[in-house]
Amino acid sequence: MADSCERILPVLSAYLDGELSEAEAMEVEKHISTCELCSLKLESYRAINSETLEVKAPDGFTARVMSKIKSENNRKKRKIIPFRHATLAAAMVALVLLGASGTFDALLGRANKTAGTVVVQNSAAEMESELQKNAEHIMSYSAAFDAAPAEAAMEAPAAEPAPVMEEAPAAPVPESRIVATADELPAEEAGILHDIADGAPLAPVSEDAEEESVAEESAITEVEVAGEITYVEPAENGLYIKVENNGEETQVYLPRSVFGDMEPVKGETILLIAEETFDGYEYHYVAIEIE
Amino acid sequence: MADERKLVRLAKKGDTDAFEQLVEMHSDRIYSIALRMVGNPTDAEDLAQEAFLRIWRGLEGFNMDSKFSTWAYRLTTNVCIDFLRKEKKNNNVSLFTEDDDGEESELEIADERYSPQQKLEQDQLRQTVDRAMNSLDPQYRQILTLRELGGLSYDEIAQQLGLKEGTVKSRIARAREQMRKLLTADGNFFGSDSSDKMKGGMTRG
Repeated sequence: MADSCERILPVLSAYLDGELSEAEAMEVEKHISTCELCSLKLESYRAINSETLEVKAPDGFTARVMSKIKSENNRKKRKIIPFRHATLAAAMVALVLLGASGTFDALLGRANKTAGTVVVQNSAAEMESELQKNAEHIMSYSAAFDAAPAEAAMEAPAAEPAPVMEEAPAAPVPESRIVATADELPAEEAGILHDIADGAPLAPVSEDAEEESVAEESAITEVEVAGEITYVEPAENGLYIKVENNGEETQVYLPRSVFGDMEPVKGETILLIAEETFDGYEYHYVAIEIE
Repeated sequence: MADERKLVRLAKKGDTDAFEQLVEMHSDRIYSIALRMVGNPTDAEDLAQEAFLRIWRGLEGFNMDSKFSTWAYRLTTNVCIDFLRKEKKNNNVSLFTEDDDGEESELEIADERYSPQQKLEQDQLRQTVDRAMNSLDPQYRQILTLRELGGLSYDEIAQQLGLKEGTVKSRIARAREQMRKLLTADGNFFGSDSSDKMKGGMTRG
């Protein structure tokens, strides 16, 4: 009996949780039907259950939770941030911070045409490798400015598209989902841009030109990014988040001005709606809403 | 009791009254998960509130395939594990702080279902369990909580903690055994008339 107790005791707990195979479970049952010691032990384990371990929530707990939720609901008004007046700086900062290679060449060559910002890959694996590359791009790009500002300056303001990096599509892939940037940029965001682009004068988009391109070149379509936030990382003046929906992961940079003090949190469900225009050349994001 | 699925459907559409009922229904369990995971009432309250906020925010994306409670408890264990990871990083060991007073005061809420005598026994048993849980090695206390209160399978626990399933299995076994010993040593839980208490005394309703 002692021998078989030695074999049974370690698996009694797993038996209780239904985590044994049928054969193992039968062996346990056979043993405890004749062994009082093991049978009592099993009963003790069974008595340490959710009922015994549960305590009461403190007084007023529900009320405190509900007051938090109601105050959050009040603050969580739909934000619509017109993109029309977004500065180039906003777009650029978002670009650099997101480091999406699909639009990274725009930073080099098509900055003056670029209004929108965030490119999204649909496959997680793809995204990982893109991120890796992007990190390298950003680093080498910054280094290029440090080392050879003149050379960079030649590239940057060009009206023509710059040579496209091998792994970067000339335009965002059609299935890309995008989120735009903010209306107004705090001074410090513009400051970052200047740091990055020092020596590379970037042609600012005049409001008129921007309006024109939106008005003339294409209809506005609404794109949605909805799902659970699976990743949040603080970025300069905003957050870098990943949103997952049905196994499809979307990476998004959100400027702080979009969410204010309502920081998106991992595990939350988020709905981003961006108005998207395509001028045959670039996607432009006219507005963003967060629900 | 209101139909839970109906409440969930309403809450998904933003009905805060329906959600309030869901909070009421699950607050004990969710608070308990937090308390047993972190070991002190202050953090437990914060984490349980945080869990409900995330449940509220996540409701829209909750498909009704699984039970609401299963989903909600899992989310709560996530919140707690994230917290404990951060605690671990900060070397902040708040797990063995002496919180008996706080917890007991919370337990003094009158429960009409029991006579004074029953209530006294009930309170004593609760205190016994609390003492035992508080003296349990934190890693045992936490894994037992994930299993018993969180309702997680070994596989799920293994994933959440980044452990092998075999490790989860043996750790839960050791946790139960340690807990059994602590409760036996205390004398209140498995007393000489233990068969009654073990089977009926701790069961509510």
